[in-house]
Amino acid sequence: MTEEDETAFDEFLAARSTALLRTAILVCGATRHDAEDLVQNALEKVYRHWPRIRNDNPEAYARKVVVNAAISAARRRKIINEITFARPPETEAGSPDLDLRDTLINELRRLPARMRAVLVLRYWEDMSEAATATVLGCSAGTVKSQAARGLARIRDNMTEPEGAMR
Amino acid sequence: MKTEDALAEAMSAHVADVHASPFLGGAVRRRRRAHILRFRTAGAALVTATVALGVPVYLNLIPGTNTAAPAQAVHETKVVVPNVEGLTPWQADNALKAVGLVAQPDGNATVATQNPRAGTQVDPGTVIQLTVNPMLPQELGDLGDGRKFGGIEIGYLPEGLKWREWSGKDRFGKDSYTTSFDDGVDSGAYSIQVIVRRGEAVKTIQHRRDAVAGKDWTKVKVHGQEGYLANFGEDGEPHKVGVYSEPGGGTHTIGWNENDNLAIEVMMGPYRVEKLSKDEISAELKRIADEIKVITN
Repeated sequence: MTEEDETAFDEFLAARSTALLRTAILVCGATRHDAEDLVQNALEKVYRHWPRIRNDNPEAYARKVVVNAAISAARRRKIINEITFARPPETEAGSPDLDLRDTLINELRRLPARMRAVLVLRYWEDMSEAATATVLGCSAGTVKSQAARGLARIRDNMTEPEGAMR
Repeated sequence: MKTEDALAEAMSAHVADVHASPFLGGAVRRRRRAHILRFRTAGAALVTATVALGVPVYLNLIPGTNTAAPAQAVHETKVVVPNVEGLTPWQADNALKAVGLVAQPDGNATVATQNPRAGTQVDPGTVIQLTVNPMLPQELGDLGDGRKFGGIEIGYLPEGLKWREWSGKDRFGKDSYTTSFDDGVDSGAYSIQVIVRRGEAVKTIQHRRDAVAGKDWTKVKVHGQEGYLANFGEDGEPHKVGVYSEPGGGTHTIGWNENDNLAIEVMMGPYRVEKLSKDEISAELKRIADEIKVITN
């Protein structure tokens, strides 16, 4: 690892680590502390291969490692059992949107890890079906059906506000 | 509002206050070091400590007691490296934490030397290398070149590999034996480790058999016996041989049962894996396995 590699890695972290951490929190449903641990572990793998991948879309590689690690973590239920979906402190309490958001996040949590990852990548990261499929190592058709089923489950389980969802 | 839009908004709000720590880079690099310093990596090891915070304090350590004098400011942007030589890594870690430095402890070793020396004023971000003298298990005594142990003899090892001067007994089940070899280049990392399981310990290999069941691509013949060759992840799942079978990293392993009472595994360390092509990894593990001679059945 050259000095230039090290500097480039630091720049990569500065640009992408917050997004990766947020993705990890959403996909594995962990507390921030656990998600940080997961992201550090994933980034260690990115760092290990950095000289090779730095000029070859390291962001895609990092996202892939983080998302797959988050899915594994959620599946192992080591992290998901410790979930505390606390409201962000600066969010105004009592806002009607807040209840809706909380309910949505709770419904998201109840989905299987891989289905949750599809929804996070498609609708939060705003990735295409093809790009999501690449991250998850499945077909675009699977992404499409998982996204549709995930949204349907959330819709079905939402009890309020009546008629707010289409 | 459509469900996907509401969900996107909820997700954004949920993580809006989340920001990565500015010390993430240091933490990742420490993990990289720590990754090398696992049990199988026992040997003279390098532990890296990085300045995580620019805490302007001076710390006076009494070796072995892990107590510190009250902090005094000496410089606004420097930290003074405490003396951690002779302490255990855990004590060193605590001492380093007290001044905003972090070390990754490993095992029951003691710190032999540190660089820079104690008392040096350093810029935040300076890497401090601690050379650790581990109290390595020597449970099989002096093995000479390390090739003969546990009733087997290793006939072939890649050029340049030397015995790491440690050995373990009963660490992988009762009646198991292990030792490792390195190339002396990647300090702290083993290159090849061999585990011999006999009698009761053979049972501890069953999880491997279960993990490779039905996965024909892991199959390999050693000494006429059916074995497995794969990159086993931390969860025990086999992956294809190769450096980048992420996620999970993993340990490249060839294993086989000589008979009902003897199971042997040969593992390749991560640094060595990175230096070889997929074919070379497989060929090297296979050759080491093929040329292991069983002295005691």
